[in-house]
Amino acid sequence: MAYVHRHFFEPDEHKNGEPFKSLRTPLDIELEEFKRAVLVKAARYEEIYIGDTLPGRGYA
Amino acid sequence: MAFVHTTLGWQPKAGGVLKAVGAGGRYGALAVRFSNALNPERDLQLEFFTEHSDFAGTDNGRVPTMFSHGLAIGEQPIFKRFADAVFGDAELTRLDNGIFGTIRLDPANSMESALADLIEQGALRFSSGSTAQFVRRGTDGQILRWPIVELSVTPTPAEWRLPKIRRL
Repeated sequence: MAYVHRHFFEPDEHKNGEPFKSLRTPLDIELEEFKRAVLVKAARYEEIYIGDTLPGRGYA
Repeated sequence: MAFVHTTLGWQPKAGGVLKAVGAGGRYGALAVRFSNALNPERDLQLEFFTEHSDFAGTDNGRVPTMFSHGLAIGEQPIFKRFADAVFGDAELTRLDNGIFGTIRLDPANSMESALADLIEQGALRFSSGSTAQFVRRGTDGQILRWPIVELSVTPTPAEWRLPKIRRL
């Protein structure tokens, strides 16, 4: 069976509805978790002490 | 990274970069805010700086940058990794209303890039750190002496009136 390159690499492409796991390293995943936690803390801080939420962001 | 098909097969596009990099650059904001001793605006620890607070010369100097004063904000290893990290020096400049901090974050460094990303999302402010043997406080909460030994970026500074760090 001939193998045809449709294209080589598309970062945003999903295969069977799942993102290519190989694009994210374990460190990438940990950093995303860190950033999520900081954004949640920042949002709570702003709500409590400043009475505002970060504009345009959904952290819940 | 973009690839193009040539007579040699699939090749990186000419002029393309080999490795993607994240956010980074030069960022700054007010890091210490002076209050009026006669009508003080206290921070969340009920303390305040004034223009007479003694910074022992560190208000125009360079100090290491940390994340949240080296305190881990979670249990997982990545939080400890940020708590243990010491980043490049911050530059401090005294102004009439406080001390301005400037930091540089390397987009090729994954941890610094993560901080830069958080700054660009408006999540971080500065907080200065000193050590107990240096610090002197008045009975009214006025900070009399505060040599700055590190400048932290944090989502939860004691002084909530400080502006968010922004790209310079």
